[in-house]
Amino acid sequence: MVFLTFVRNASRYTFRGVQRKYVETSEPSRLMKRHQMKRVGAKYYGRLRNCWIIGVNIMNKALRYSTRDTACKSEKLDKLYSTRLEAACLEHGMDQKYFLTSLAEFDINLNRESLANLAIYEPRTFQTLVEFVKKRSLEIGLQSKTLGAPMGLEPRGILEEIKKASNSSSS
Amino acid sequence: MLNVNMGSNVIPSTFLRNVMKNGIGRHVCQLQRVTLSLCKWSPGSAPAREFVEQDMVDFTRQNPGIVFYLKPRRHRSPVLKAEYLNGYTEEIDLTKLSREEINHWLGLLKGRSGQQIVRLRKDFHTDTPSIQGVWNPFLFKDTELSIKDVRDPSLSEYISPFKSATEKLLELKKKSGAS
Amino acid sequence: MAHNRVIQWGAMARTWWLYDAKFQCPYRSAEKLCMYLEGRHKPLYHPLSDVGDHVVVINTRYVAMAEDLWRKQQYKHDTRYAGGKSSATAWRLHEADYTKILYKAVYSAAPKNLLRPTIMRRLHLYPEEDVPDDIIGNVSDVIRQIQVVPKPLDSYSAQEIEEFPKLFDWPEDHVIYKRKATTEKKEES
Repeated sequence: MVFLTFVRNASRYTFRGVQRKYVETSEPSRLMKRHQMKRVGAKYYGRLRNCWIIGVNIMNKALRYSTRDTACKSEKLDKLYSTRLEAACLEHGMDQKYFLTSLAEFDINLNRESLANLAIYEPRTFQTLVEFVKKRSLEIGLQSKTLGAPMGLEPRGILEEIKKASNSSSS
Repeated sequence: MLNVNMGSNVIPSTFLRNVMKNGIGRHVCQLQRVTLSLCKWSPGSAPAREFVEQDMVDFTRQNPGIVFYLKPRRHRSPVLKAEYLNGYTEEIDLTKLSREEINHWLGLLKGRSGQQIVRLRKDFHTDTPSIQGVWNPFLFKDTELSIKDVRDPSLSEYISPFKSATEKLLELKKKSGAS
Repeated sequence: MAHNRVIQWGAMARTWWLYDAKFQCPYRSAEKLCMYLEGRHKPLYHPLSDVGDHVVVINTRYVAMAEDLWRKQQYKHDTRYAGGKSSATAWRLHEADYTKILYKAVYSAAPKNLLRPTIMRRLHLYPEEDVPDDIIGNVSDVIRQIQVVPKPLDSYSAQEIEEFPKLFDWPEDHVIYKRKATTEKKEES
């Protein structure tokens, strides 16, 4: 709770005299503490806003929740982008993992977030990206021609195809 | 304008936007009227008086669209009141501000759109997020589906990536028969 | 913008899918059906927004289970009264209601939150092939099956069986066990 300690410490410095000098006092000002609770809980309803001990408990709990949730926010968003991208890839009969790795290999540096946004807002651009990956890997000789099935099909096991090709070439 | 859909329990917030598309064709200054109320005698209003003596006339010459009022107010701190085209008013207390600072505040008021300043949800916003059209479930659907019956087994049959033993046998037979 | 609401109608449109459950594993197909019911097949998916589609499932009577699961899989029920606990094997439950197995499979595969009842209401299960016209009329696309439907020997014609390549011949003294028909048994006894 980084910012909570900051908020608490803020009340320990009081302004004295005309000189702009902050002096540390032994006890925090009672009124200042209450004022802080009112600033955070201005939108609370009923006794949560009017009573000190209820309000400050609720405020502390709220700050604790926000700390916890900001920590896992990026993780949750990553998961969401991954699900979206998987859906978008499935629509064009492409495997998400293969798509991302080959994009990186061909030096198209787009992350999951921007790819997922492209799939929603500029779907044709996303389609061309998928087609590019398909054609490029065909040229290299990584991929089977059966890829590119319509929606509703599972993405074909490209890795299996690769394995098959490598097995046949070695034997 | 604040977001209408917000509940009463939330601190107001908006998206970044250009009000009335001002400045896309020509820019219309939204600030219409400025009232500077100051004391003629008190030292607290000294910088305000300085501003009136030195800068005010220049400002009114440069901005003929803005009406500038001077309002004497005895023994009170100087206040700058700005009124905008949309009816919004903003007051700025000029206590302990220097002449330069008053000029800065006036410049800020001149550039504003007359919207209340609230928290921005994002630093970027667009009214047309998509140029190619937003994705919809019918965008990449196979057109063949509109002709075919949905009960057609070819649509629902599982396509295996591997050949079954039966298929391999039949293939072998074909090969041997041909040769 | 007046055009925005039309864009939203298009993007948020619900489509109807058909799924043939003939000889399909109910648990693995439930996972796939859930993807469509939740809307995880759409790029604009969000767990809090209700973007799922309708799924019509036919032939739920002919679902197939692996190994001995028809006998071993237990479906438990508790009325929360004293002595109210009961359990039924899969085949018993299936006899009582031909759609129940798949319903329970999808129910347990669906997300455990408040969206689950609405998701379940978009699942339409039919034991046989016949579906009411007002429901099959909505269907615009088909979900592919997850495993191969085995072809029974009866469906092959005599010519096809004859033409199938023989890898080896049985020796003359080889005895092939053939199950006696049930009708014969009765006559004997």
